[in-house]
Amino acid sequence: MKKYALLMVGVSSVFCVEAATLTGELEFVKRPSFVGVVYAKGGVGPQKAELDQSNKVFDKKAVVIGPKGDITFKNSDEFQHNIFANDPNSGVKFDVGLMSQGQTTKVSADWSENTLTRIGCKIHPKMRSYIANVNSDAYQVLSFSKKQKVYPIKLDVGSHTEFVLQIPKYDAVELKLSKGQDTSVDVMYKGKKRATLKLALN
Amino acid sequence: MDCKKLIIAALPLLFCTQIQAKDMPMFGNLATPDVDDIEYIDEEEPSEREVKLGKMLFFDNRLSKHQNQSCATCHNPELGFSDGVAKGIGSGGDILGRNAPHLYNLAWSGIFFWDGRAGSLQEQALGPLVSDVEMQMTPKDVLQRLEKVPFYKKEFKALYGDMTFENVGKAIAAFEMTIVSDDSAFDKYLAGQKEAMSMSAVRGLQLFVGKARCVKCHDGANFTDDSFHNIGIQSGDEGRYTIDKNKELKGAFKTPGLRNIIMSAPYMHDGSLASLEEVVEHYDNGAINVKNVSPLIVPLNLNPQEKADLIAFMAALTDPVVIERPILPN
Repeated sequence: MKKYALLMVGVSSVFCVEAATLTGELEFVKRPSFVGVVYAKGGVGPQKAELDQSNKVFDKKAVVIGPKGDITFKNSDEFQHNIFANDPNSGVKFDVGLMSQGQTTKVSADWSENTLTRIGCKIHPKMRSYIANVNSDAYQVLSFSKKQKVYPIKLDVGSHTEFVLQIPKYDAVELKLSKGQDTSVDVMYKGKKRATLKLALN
Repeated sequence: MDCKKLIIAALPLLFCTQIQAKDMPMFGNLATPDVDDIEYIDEEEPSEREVKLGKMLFFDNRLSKHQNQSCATCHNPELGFSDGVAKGIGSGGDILGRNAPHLYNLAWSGIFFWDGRAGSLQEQALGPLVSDVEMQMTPKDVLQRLEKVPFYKKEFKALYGDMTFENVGKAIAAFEMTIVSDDSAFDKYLAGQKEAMSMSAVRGLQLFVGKARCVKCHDGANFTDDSFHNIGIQSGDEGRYTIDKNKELKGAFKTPGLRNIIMSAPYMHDGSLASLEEVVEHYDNGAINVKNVSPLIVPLNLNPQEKADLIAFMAALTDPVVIERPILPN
């Protein structure tokens, strides 16, 4: 029993030494985009995720999945939907076919990791969501709204020191931070500054 | 005032509130369009200068082969941004395949043309220019014509750095995005002016979201789900299916928005229904035994008063957009 207790103390002190929190904010210059994902590089990523549809919208602006993980698509809507991806930016193409109310279907994220793929509905073209395929266990989905310019970021990142911000169509931001360090970078879209990302690792 | 008097004074107020709540229809997603919901090209609102350039191009006949047509020929602001005929006529006199749809509130749309073959307003704006039967130009023809006009040369250079066919579409789309109708009697009613709509229109709204099932497709702030449905108009045109070979989409066409709809007769993708009365009649009948018709289309059993109420409601979606025609540069 003593041995176990000692082992526990050892493990928790390693944790205390290594555990770090990434904090900061993303501030848009003008109108915010649709969604963003900030994550720490490293880990396996979630192996299961679910995305539902009702009232002609997806229930999440983005789902996060690890490489080869399974995404379950549900249709809780009274209308039929047909989820598809044909995203030249991430090279992902699939079509799950027509789904009636109550139906579910699974798609394996067997495409390149660290990608953000747009998905939509063939029947309702205004519906959109994104699949973030990342090998990360520390991530935060930032759901943007047109009326809010500043978005707080807070992530328990363990011992990770490399971080990525992905926003559809924007240049991805990748940076490395040491514990105690902070930084501020411009977030660019087609050569124009669209936001400022401030991060600190403590 | 003692307690009893207070209760007596509050009773009518309470009664009124209950009546209002009971009578208040469920509007679903119907709303006044919000500019914050517009997805701009390159996520940036067009500048006034870009809109002005686009407006000139929109009205410029030099963009058609025989210099006899502009975008405004088929999308005439005085005819509800449509042309008043069942099927338009091209620059060379050809009868076109489909009815010219109106252009109201396309800034909020994500897919364009009756069959949805364009994914942006910019792409849509260029389609008719290079169509064999519509304006019959090539991208090269368009640029050659515009380069001869010093004003256009100057504006394209200042706005985009270069005059390209793509930028012509960008400018026209910038203007089209300003064709916004958002202050109809219905919008005033939503904002709390209950007298803005007649009793008939209010009943029509209740039918629209209820018994008449219109909102199943004509949903959202612009009364369209931006989706495709086969509503039982038998024209032999396969619509969306020509773009997407999904059998559910055979004969399906994009749901048109209904703002200012009273101004853009005739109706349907083939312009086969001359009036809103005919449209309501069509839906009331339910397109029974029509091949590939959407399961959303069923007989409605509306009585004459209900049909009139629905039309009164559609009339309450009217807020004309007045466009002053520009003086074109030489």
